Amino acid sequence: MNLKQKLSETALAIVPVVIIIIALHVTIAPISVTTLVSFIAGAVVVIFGLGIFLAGVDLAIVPSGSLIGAALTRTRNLPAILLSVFAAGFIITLAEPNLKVQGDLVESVTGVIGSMSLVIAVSAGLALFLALGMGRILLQIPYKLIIVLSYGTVLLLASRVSPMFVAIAFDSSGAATGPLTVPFFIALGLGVSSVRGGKKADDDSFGTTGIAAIGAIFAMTVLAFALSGGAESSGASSSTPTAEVASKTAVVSQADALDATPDGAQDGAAGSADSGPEQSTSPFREAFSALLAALPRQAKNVTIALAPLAVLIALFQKVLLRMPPAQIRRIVAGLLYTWIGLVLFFTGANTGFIPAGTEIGVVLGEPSRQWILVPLGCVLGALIVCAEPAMWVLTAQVEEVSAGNIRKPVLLAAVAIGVACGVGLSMWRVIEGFSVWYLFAPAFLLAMALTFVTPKLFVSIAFDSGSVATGPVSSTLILPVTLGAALSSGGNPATDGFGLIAMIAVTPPISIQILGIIFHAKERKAQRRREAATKQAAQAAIHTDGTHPAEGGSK
Amino acid sequence: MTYTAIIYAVVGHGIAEKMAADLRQKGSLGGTILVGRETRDSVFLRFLSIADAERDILLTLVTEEQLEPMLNAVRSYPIAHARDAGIVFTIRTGGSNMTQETDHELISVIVNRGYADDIMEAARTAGARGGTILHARGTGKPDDEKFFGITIVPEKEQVLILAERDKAPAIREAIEQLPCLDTPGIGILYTMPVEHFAQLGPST
Repeated sequence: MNLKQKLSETALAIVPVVIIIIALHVTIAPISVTTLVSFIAGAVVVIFGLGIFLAGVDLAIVPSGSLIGAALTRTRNLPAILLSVFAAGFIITLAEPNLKVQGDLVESVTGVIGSMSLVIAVSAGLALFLALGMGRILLQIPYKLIIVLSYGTVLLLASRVSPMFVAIAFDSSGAATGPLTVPFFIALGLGVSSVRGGKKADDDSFGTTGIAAIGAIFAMTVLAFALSGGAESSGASSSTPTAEVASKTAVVSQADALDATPDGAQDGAAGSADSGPEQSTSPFREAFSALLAALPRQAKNVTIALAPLAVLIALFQKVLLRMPPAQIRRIVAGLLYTWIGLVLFFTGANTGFIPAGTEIGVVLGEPSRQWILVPLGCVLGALIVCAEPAMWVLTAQVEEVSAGNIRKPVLLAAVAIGVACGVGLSMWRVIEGFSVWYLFAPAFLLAMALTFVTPKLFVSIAFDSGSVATGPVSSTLILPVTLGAALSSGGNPATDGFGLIAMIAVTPPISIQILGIIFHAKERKAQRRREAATKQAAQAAIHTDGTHPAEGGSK
Repeated sequence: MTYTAIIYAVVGHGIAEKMAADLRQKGSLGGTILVGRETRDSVFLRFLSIADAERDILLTLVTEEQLEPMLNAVRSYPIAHARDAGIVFTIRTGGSNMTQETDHELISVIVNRGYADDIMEAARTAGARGGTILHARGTGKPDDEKFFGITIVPEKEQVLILAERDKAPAIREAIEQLPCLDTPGIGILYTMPVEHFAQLGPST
């Protein structure tokens, strides 16, 4: 990779978001100067962080993940393969800082689900489905069968538990599939499918992350189902009075993702609120010191998240991989880049994006300005998904596996359209306040139905992109906007947040599958034209000098 | 109508498609694009492990009459950025011209995945200026064990290094001497004579 090119690419992805926010600031949604300055400063840090992170992923995470996947498969020992994948998935997810935060919040809010049990349940569910996803590649179980069955079961269970638990389940899955876990899972799947012979091998290169994400939702719904089944009456009564307050904290702080103990979130909000009056310090200095103050905590979180992965790679290197020296140097350098990049990224996103998002949402949620929410949601959704780190990793890998056939911009555009629709619909729902199921159920059924007519490669990319789209940028910028809007328009933040995350998870699979169908149709047309042309050329050649043309026309 | 040569154009990622369209207009039947990576010739960037760049290799099969016009088209193809600059050369497909002395050689190394960077490092020390790494899959042997009906095929990397004729033996030697390549069956190395070598685009 080329660091300069990476940086200019990520700048291209983030700058439009900054422009939109500034445009909103000068037109209809003025926010405090401090917030704006720290947003811009945050965005700059995010650009550098994202660029460096992507460089590290290219150097370390993707190669080591796929080498491990390939080496495991070559052992031809199915129980050992599945067990290793399960263990790797479990350990890496367990270390995800987002998930711990999510667990603490859910414990403080529900009182029914403990933090530890949530973290363990989600990690186990995710790891189990990750192993299932790998096993599927080896045993050649059709992808859509697994998707339809597991999502079907999840939805069936979800319709029987309280919406708040469903919200928690989706949020937990979003928290667990972070920018570190996703690239590694994608690479692992690539590695396993890469050692498979046969021309269909590429079809299986993706999809593992999509399955793993269901695992997390599945585990949480089962847990909620078991708990609410056992304590039906008490659960119902206890959830009603506290629901309003509790759910607010739940989702607002979920948005705070990596940063936050709950009081940390309050500090952030309070800090930006009362910084207005005391004009003595310059907003620039304030933004800078806020960034600096957030740095150590992010450094610690990222270290905790990255350490198990590094240990895992070292372990596999010792036992199975035995990479040569230059390769090892690259991986070590790459891990270092990943660390630096992630620390910068989270520092910028958490200190810069969340306050700005919340303030804008609150202003826009006022009845007089609500008309802008739907179009703004569409635009923000489309732009923000292009800033998701894991999204970049996915599209880059797709381009590589398809040998440049499915280009990054095309895929990003399709996901952006999907997310735009999802966020727009969610905003509409926030304004109108109807049940999320009216949007969610048809969207899900459509996504399921499309799997039967979409080319296989696109089905697996589609469901991966769904879980990838719900990353740290959407939870630090779109979610606060939605929640702010929900607060000031009198909605219920808990279920609104759920609506948003679930919609972002389900709309990209639809748009990507539609892209796949279009792509396939075009390819077939081109193929027919090419065949006709070759036939013509062949005939012409035979007519002129009788020799057969070599196979130069095929691409 | 016999095809006598393959034109190899190695350029920055994204250029090859446009170049192929250009050549098709001038009468080629089409081409094949391989996507690989290259490590840049900068010690500083290589020390930081950020010297990789994506490269396209455009393969175009041409007849003797097409050779010159196509080569000219490739040579005169406008490449704006130094980072997309590349090289062009041809390889003879028939036996007729094989005896001709050429001043460049293409060294191809096919190894198991993960060894390409060590090979590039060794080649550079021995005087190579650059090289392109392609990702590939082995075919597996017919008697390979099946695993749930799946043939397990090894992943491969192919390293293509273009070198001046007098430097080629030293580079070959350096690669063959690599300690990490002393496992039997880890890969193969061969060279091909190359003609019409030229630099493309602005020089770096």
